[in-house]
Amino acid sequence: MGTIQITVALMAITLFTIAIITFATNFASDNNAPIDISDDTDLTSLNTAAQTNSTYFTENASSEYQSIIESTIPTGAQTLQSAAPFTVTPSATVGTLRNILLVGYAKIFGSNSGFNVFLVGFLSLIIIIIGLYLYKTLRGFPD
Amino acid sequence: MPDLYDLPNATTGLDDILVETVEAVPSLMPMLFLFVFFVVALGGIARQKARTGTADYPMWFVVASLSVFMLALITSTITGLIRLDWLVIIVVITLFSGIWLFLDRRSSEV
Repeated sequence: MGTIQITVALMAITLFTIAIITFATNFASDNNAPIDISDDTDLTSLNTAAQTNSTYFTENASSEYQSIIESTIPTGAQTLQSAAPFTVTPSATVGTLRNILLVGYAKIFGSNSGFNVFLVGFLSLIIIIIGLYLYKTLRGFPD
Repeated sequence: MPDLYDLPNATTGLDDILVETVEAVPSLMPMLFLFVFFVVALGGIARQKARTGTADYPMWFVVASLSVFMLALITSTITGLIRLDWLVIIVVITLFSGIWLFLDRRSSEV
């Protein structure tokens, strides 16, 4: 399993955990369910911990992506010296995806902000995947 | 002529019939969840294997887990159908299925 694959897998597990537990919590809250998953302290603390890890990833993904596109290598026969040609593409267009997701989320689930951690984490994951693939384009690794 | 069993009271809502049945047979809901889980998982695996020759086990376990998870959430809105520890177990199984899917090294259909 390569670096990109393991990064995506671990982050996807974190987001999946947040999504499942948050959805169950919000479902119980919206429907005044007598059986509420938030009454279980272990799962509630797991959700909080996963959100903390996701926030940590989100904060670092942006700076890591920036360092990737600013990195340079000596010009070789068929290599680019920097990732500058890619700077115009991903970061701005990911903003479009963010807007689509936010509007779609608001229309379907309402204006409850409890699920925003998932969206922000998901977008950070997309950004860092793009960054890692750019790095792979330049240098041939990570897998 | 006397009834062979006590008829459930259906005047307060049809869900009371289910609640009274669960009171008489507490294992009804876990068995129902188990039934749904394996129908989805084994059915999906068998059909995919018949169609393509291979089956994506983690994906079908996630699909089955999510099916049971949604069913459990619906039953959690009615007092007496499901206990909190069962719901927690279903959530944990769903999370474990997700971990299996995302860490699976084979290329998946998802």
